[in-house]
Amino acid sequence: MEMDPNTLKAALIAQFPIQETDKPPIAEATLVEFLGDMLDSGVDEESILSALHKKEPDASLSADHHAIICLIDSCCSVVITRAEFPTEISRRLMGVIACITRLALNEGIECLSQNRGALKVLESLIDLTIGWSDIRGNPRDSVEQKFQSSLVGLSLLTESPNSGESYLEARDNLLTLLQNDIAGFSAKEKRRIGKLEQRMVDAEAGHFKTLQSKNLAAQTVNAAMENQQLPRPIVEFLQGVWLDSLQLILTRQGLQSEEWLRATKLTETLVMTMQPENMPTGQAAITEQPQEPTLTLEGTTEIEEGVDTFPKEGAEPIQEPNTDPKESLEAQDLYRIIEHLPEELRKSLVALEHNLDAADAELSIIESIHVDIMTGEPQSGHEFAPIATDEGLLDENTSVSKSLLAPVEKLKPGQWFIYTEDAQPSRHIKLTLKVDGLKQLLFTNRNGAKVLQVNYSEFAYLMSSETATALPPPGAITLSLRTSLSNLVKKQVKKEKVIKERRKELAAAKRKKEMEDTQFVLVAVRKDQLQSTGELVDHKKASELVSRLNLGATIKLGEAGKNFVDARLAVDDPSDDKIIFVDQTGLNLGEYTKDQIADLIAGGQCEVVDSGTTEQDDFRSVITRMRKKKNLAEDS
Amino acid sequence: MTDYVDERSSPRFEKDVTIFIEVQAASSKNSSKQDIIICKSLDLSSQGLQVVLDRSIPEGRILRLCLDIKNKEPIFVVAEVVWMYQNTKSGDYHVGFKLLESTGTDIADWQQTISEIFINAD
Repeated sequence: MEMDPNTLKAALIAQFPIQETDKPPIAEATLVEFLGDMLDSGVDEESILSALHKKEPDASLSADHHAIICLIDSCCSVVITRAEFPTEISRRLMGVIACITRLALNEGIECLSQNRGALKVLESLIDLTIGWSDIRGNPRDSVEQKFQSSLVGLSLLTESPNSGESYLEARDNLLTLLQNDIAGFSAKEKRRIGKLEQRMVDAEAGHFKTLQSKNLAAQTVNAAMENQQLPRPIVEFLQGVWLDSLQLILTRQGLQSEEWLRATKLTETLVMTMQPENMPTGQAAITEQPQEPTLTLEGTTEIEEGVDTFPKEGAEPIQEPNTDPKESLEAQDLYRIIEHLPEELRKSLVALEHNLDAADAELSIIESIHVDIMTGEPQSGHEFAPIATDEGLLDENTSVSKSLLAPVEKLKPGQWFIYTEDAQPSRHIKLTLKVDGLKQLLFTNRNGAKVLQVNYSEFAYLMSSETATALPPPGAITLSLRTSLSNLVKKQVKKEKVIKERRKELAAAKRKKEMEDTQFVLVAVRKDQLQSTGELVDHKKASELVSRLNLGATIKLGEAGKNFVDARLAVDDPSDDKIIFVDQTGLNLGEYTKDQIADLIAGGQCEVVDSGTTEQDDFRSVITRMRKKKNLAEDS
Repeated sequence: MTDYVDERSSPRFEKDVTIFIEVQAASSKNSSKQDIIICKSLDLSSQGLQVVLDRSIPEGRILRLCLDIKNKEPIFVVAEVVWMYQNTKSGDYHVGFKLLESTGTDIADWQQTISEIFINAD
């Protein structure tokens, strides 16, 4: 956007007004020199403005210098401060901002918008030094070398106050080359670190999956076993080989797989079939009938002559008694389930897929227990603890709202964050891996080493508690400055347009009034009428009338006998010799001096209806009444 | 929605106080009644204020206002509507007033009171 320098200047000063002071403003040449020194020595303060105040406490800045510096601080310095670089880096980066400020003062703030070479150098230096505190060894030396040489280059390119066009063009081209050099170095660094990160990611991806599978498998088994009475062998089975199998299924087939869904269902089914109360009541009747053969604890049988014995091995399953039809149906289903359960379990018992004997042994225990339960053998519940899981920061009773999770879901690998631990210096960490399916995030430092692994909810909490804060993305400073300048100019242009239009309207109204005032009307009037206090009043009397007008005075504006408009005195500003009349709704009917009103009265274009007194003021009386009522109520 | 230009340059602070606005003065000529709105301010400064209303007031209108604070005398001023826009979500009208210097008003008291409120708010 083309920016008129005057408009921009006015906009900046309006946006960043300086407090009036008696202190003399620093001369521009001196200011430029100070800023040049800051590039070489660095800046300890959080803003260029405060650094200048510290250097020259007895001087002030001119309005436009103040505004330019404030703008640059608001777009650039604030980024450095919030990024929490180590002190040795932040002070040098602030020195670069001082250099940018010097350019803006020499060449006009719009130069930063038109040619962004200097800003790009700053952005590249920020990119180069992110994660500085974690860089070690040879990489640290080379980054440091590049940083220092870039600062020297910047200083050399910007120290001359030459404002010739050719010079500036050459200078800007060289700044671009400098920025490209820094960016090229950073890109090479990133490629090196990228390889380290990839190795780490490849290793961690497997661990992620395993850990998550383990946790989820444990949670599934825990949920199925919770508050259930289970025999010891079943507890051991579920928390042992069955848990391992679930974990394997998750790792191999995934959360959405049929195998996993079947395995979770089988877990629930197995637990359900281990509950005696789930057995059909008819079966209990079978075990209590004295005619039926029973198994004693010693394994002997009491067989009554002529009565069928208990089913031998290989015989048909026990037939249900003749009970309620509905219950019979449920019992049939249950028997069917129990009958097929071992085979179903076998298919999912992948932890023992290579050890069939062990699998057989486990399943036969389950079958045996089923038989015991069905025959009414009392089963003692075995006490067990849930399988331990890695809950991370949040426990099962804590959840994060969707509004907090939303920004986490939008995160993209490559984003940098400032991570602040208690009583520790802040560090820069990078989101390197985001596993949407498992909702896991993995962060690395500048060396490509893993520093943090959390799930979405945990990181949502870290962000909301400001333990982790996003660093501005590359290019943020340049964008911020451009946008600020553009918005300021738009605002100023709009403002000037409104003011211009208002002035036009007022001028038009005034012209109109003047036209009416200069209209000469020939009136034939008898002498005796002229001597009476009729419609035409002499100027002196008119002035006296005007001086007695109060706020709220009512007059008629216009021509006597024609189109008189009722007007109320709304504003009487003696300092400006300005009186404004409005209609009932506040519409401005005209702005006059007292003399002009007197002229109008004397000329018959204005007539005073009443001079306005406080007693007649309806507005005041309404409010006084209301306040009195309010006070009485409070008193009582 | 009316575009407005923020000409406010004085420091302002958010404060909701009761404001009376005379949007229509009484007239004996056509027997039209006075119309006064009681509303709340959104922010105040020594030069003006912003209020929220449920009806619009055209820009340029010069109206009488009264600042009503408990345990203080009411402060009467004259102000001009310098901007107005409608909040499309709530439907409310935000109206910005600029105080006008005039005899017969309490503009000096206004500025004094605003300073006191500001200091107490700190």
